[in-house]
Amino acid sequence: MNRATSKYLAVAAAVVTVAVMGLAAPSGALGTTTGATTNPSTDPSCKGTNIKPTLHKDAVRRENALSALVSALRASQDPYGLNGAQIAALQDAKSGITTLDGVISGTCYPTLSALHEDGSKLFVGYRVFWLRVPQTFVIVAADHLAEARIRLGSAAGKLAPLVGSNAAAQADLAAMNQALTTADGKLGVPPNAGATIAAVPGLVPAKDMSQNGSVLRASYADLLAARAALMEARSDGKKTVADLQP
Amino acid sequence: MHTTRRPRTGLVAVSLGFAAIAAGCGGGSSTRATPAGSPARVGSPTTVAAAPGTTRPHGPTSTAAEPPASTPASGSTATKPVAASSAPSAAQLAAVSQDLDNAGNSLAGSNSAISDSNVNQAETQEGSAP
Repeated sequence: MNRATSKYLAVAAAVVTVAVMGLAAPSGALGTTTGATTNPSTDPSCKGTNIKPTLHKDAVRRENALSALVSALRASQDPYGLNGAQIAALQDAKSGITTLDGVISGTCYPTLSALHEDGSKLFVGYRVFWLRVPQTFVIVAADHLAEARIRLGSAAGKLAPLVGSNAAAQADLAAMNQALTTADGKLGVPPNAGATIAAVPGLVPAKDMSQNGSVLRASYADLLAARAALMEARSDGKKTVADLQP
Repeated sequence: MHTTRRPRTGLVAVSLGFAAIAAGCGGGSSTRATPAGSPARVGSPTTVAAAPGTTRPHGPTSTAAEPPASTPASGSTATKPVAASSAPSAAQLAAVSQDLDNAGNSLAGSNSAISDSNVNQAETQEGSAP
């Protein structure tokens, strides 16, 4: 195999690789042909080589964050059945970022704007910190709160036959149950998450994040309200126990 | 004269307490592990105070062997007779307290996650391409 043939095969392999990865060739780049025959790090015609390490660092930071989010979901119970799909979305995002990072580092960009266009995909195309982090933690927080709700419901159920004619205990248990109802209105009752929380897993990265932001803010407000209600319920439960102490 | 009765009453109360608490702690009352690798959970402040001795971020809850603080001291029930049909036993109340403590742990675990779900805070961390 002569040298020209080797080059041809290398170029063909690069084209196939990009196609398989589902990524369009970088806009305005010298193309995969040039990318395969030049060294993007040293060729003076390749622009933005000093920026690429920063972009790579941004990519790694996002990959690590996505891995941590997956770990957080895997460690959580899944009372609403939301965790599996979110884990899949996070893993897809991580895979896509890894691929994009490789494309950026291996491509010779003829202009800085061409590099910027690909670099922007790392941010806008994935929205790891703006979307995936809060989105995932809405689910994790809901998991924790549902767990608390189940335990408080268990406590309330045990207290119900114990209060008897103790007026103070009756009142405090009633307050506890009211607080639990309030929490249910925000959090939902497993396996059905509350409306604002159920809307979160379906959010996808967007250039304009205003709609995503609205949905996330609504769920955040409901999580805060649910937690406050559950804390109130727990406090009322403790009061009820105190009322029943001999 | 009275001292011969007090130990017996206390023993009965404590025995019931162990049995009921152990029954109440079996199976589903385990706490889950803190998500590994979740930076938000490390050192994050908690606003829900778990009961002393019950905060166990890792591994299952295993407080069954510890008598509840509310368990009457030996002999105390003898000096405060109450109708058995209406007064909850110490063991029953201890089981409730265990649920409340576990709920407190779950609430404490939610704090950092709720904080990290704040999109206003997350937005500032996204950055943009150079």
